[in-house]
Amino acid sequence: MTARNDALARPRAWRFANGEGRYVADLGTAGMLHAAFVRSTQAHADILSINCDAASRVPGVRLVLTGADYLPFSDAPPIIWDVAGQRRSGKRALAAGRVRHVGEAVAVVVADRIETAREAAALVTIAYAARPVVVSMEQALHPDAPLLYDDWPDNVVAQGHWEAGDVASAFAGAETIVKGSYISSRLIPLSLEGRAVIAAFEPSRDGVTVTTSTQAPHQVREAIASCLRVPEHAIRVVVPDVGGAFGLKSCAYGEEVLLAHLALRLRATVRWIERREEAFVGSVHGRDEQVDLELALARDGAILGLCAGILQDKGSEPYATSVGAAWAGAMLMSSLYRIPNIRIDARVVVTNKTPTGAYRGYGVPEVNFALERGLDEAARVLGMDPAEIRRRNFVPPKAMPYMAPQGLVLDSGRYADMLDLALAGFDWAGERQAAAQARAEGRKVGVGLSAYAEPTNMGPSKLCGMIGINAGGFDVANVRMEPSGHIVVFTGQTPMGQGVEASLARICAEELTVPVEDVTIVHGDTQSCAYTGYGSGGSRGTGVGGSSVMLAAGKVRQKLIRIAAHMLNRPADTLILSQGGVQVADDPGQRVPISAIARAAYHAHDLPDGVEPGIEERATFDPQSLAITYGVALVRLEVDPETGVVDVQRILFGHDCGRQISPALVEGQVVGGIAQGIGAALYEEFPYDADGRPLTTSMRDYELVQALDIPDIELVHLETPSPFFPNGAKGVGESGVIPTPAAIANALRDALGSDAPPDIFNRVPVRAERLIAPELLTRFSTNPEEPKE
Amino acid sequence: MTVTISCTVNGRQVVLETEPTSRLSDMLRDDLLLTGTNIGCEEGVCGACTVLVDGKSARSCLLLAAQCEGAAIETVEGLRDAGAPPTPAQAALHRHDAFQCGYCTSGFLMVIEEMMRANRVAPLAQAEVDDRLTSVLCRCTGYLPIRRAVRTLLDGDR
Repeated sequence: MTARNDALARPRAWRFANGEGRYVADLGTAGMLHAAFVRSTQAHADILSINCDAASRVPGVRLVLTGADYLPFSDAPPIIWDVAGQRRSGKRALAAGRVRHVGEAVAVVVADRIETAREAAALVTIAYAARPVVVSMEQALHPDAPLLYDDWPDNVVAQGHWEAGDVASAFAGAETIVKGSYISSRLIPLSLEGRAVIAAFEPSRDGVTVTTSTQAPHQVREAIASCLRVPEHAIRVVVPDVGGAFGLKSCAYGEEVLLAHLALRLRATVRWIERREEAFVGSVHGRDEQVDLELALARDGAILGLCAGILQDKGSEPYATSVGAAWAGAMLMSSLYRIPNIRIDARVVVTNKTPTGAYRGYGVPEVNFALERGLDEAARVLGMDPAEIRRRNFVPPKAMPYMAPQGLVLDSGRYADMLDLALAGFDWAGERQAAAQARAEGRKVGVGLSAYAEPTNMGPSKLCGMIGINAGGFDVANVRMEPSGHIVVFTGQTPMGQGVEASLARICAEELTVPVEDVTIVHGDTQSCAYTGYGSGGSRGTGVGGSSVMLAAGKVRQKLIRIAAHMLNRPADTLILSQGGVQVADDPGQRVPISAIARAAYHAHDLPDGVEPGIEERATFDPQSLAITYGVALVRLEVDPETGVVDVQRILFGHDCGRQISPALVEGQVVGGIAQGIGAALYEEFPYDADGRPLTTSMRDYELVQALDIPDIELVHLETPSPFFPNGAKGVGESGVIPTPAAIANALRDALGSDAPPDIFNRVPVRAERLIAPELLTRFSTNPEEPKE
Repeated sequence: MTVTISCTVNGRQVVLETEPTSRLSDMLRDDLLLTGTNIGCEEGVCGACTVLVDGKSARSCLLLAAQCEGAAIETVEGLRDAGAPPTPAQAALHRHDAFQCGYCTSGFLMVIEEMMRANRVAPLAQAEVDDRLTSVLCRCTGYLPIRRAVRTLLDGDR
C-alpha cells in the first residue's frame, strides 16, 4: 500500500498524536456522583422482587432506583426506523417486571464514589422466576415459541415484502437455479472507548447538560426530551472526543435518558462509565442475519430473477434502529446488478439476547455476502470466470440514474471499468492460475472476489419519510467569519475518528480560498451547533454535511464580494475571491484581503446599503438522492490444512466514492473497514449458549484482528462524481466491511474446493476449526465439537 | 485503610496515599489526573493503557499501584515537555495518519518508545517489531499506517 500523504490528513489532530484526546471518562467535576448498574443474570425471567435495603444502607449511597420506581418518570424511547405494523417493546432504561436478556439493566445505584456505587450494586438482590428462553431465530418463529411480549401475537417485530417483475416466469425459464442460506453471525461493533455519560444539573435553565459519547447529539437530546417530558431547550448535549463508534453510538440509549433523570432528580452531576463487561451485554450488537437466496440464471450468466428471504435477529427488543438493517438490506439486495424480476421478504424477530443495533455496513454486508457467494456458486455451475458473471450483469453507466425494481437508485458509477482496473492491478488471471498450480501441488491456496454497493449520503428527507425513518435527512451548517477573518464552522456532524471535521474544514477552506488552518470546526454541542436530523451515520458526513458547509461558505463568499465591491468601488460582477482576498478579475493588483473585509464588516462604519454588519451565514442541504459508492475486493489466501488457520496474503480493493475531498481520510476509512471485514470473515463472533447466556464475557474471548492479521492492502480507485451533490462526494465509511467477508469466503471456497461441503463457506466467520481437513478432524471424532449451525 | 506509595512518574517524585486495591491506571488517572492513559478493557487485553514501568511496557490496568513502590513510571504525558515540539514518534504517527479515534494511540506511543530505545541498542527485526505491535489493539486504522509509521521511524533512527 502506498501512502497518499500529499497533505496531512488531519492537520489539527495533534492532540491524538500527543495522547491528549479528551474523552468523557477524562472529564468530570469534584463532588460529582457516580452511577453503577445492576444487570440481569437471566435471559428471560419475571422479576418477583428486588431487595435494595442493604444497598441503600451503604454509607455514601444517594439513591437506588429500580425499573418500577423509574417507570412513572420516563416514556418509552423513540424508534428511529418505524415501519407500518411494527411492534414496540415500550422498554425503558431499567427493566420493569420482566427481563429479556442477560445484561439488561434492572436497577441503578448512585453514590458519592464509584467504588461505593459498585459495592452497593452488588448488594441488590433480585428474585427471578425463569421463563423459557428463545435464543435463535428458528426458535423465535416456531409456532409454539414462548413469547417475549405477551401483547404480541408472535415474536415478529415487522415483516416487509417487495416484488417486481414476473419472478415465477424468470425461475421457470432459467438454465440454472442457485440456492443457499447465508449467515452473518452475531458480532459486536466494539469501540475501544465504551459508552460514557456525565449528566449535570444546570440551575440556570433548570435543565441538564449531558456529556456523552455519541454519533448523534441532537437525537440524544430529542430522546431525553421526549422520554422525560423536558423541553429541548433545557437540555444541552455535548460530545467530546469519541473513542470509536462504528454505529454502536448512532442512537440514543436508555442510560443517557436515565442519567439525565438522575441529574435532574438529585440536582447534581452524575457520571457513568460503561465497563467492558457491561459493554458486551449492554451496548448493541451487530449482524445476526440470515439471507436465504435463490438466483435464476440464463446460460450466459445473466441474472433473470432473484428471491430472497432476509431474517434478522433483533435480540430482546426492536431498540431505536428496529428493522432498519433488514430494510436497508432489502433495498441493496440487487447491488450493482440489473435484475429485472425480484421478490424479497424480510422478517425481523426478537430473541432473548442483547438487542442488535447499527454496526458499520448496516444490513448491506449481510446481503452482499449472500449475493456474492451465490454468484460465485452460479459461476462455478455455469463454468464461468467469477469476474465475468459480475461484468455480465452490471448496470451500465448509460442506464444511470438507474432505479432497481425494489426502489434502489444507482446514481453514477463505472462498474465494468472498476472491475477491469482491479482485475489488472491484481493480475486476476495470473493469480487464479498460480492458485490452481499451488493446489495441484497439494497446497490450499485460493483467490476470490466480491463487488459491492454502499448506500451513502443518507438523506433525502422525503425518502426518510417514505421508508419510515423518524428523522429528516438534511444537514445544516453555520459559517461565521470572525473579525480577524478566521472562519468558524458550526456543524451537527460528529467526529468519531473518521475525520469528518478535517473534511469539512477542507471543503470550507477550498470554497473561501484560504489555508485549511484558517478554518475551525465546532461540533458536538447542541447549544451552538445546527440541528441535524440524522447525526453522523449512513456515511453522510462529507457528502451531506460537507454540502451544507459548501453552500454556507458560498453565501459568505457572496457577502465578502459585496462588501469588497464597496471598498474597491468596483461592480461586484468584476470581482473574484482568490487566495484569501477579493480582487478585480482582470486586475489582480486591485485587491482587498479577507481580513480587511471582515474587519470592515464588523466595524460597520461604511457598509453598502442593505448589508448587515458581521459575517455569519447558514445553509441547509437536503439531497435529492442517496449516493452509491461501489467497488470490488480481491483476495488471495492460503489455508493451513492442519490447523485451519487462514493466511490472508493479499487484498486489492478498488473503490469509487466520487470526488475524494481528503484522499488520505478515504484511505483510512477503506483500510480500517477492510480490517473489520477480515475480522467478520474469519474471527469475530458473539455466541450464546442454549440458556441464553453469552459465551463471550471478556475481551480475551472476543477475537479482534491484530496488527499481523492484516496483509498488505493495495488500493485502486476511480472518481465518478455523484450528480446529486454539489461537491460530487459520496460517502466511504462502510465500504471496507461490505465485500470483504464474501471475497474471503469465495477465496476459501476456491482454496478448499470440493474438499469441503460448500455450506461451511456460507456462514461467517469461517473460523479455523471449521477448516481443518476432515481426515484430521476424525482424529478428534471421539469428542466432536462441531459448532452449531 | 490506605497504603503510601512513593515512586517517580515522568521523572517527578510522587508520594501518595491510595487504597491497596487501587490499580496503577486508577492512580495515574484519578489521583494524578494524567488522563492520557486510556482504559479500554480493564483486563490487560487491549493495551490502550500501556505505560512504561522501569523502562518496560506494562498494562497499567493489571498492576496495583502498591506494586509500583520505588518504580519509575512513564506515561504518554512524559514523552515531551510542555511547549516542546512533537517527538519523532508523534510526528510519524500524525504524518502517516496512524490514528483515527485516538483511543489506542497512547498505548502505541509507549510501545513505540520502548522499541525505539531497544532499537538504538540493537536494531529490531521486522518480525520483532510486528510482534511487539500486536500488544495493542486498534479498531479504526487496520494497523497498516501504524506499522508504516513505526518502520520508517526505526529505520530513520538507526
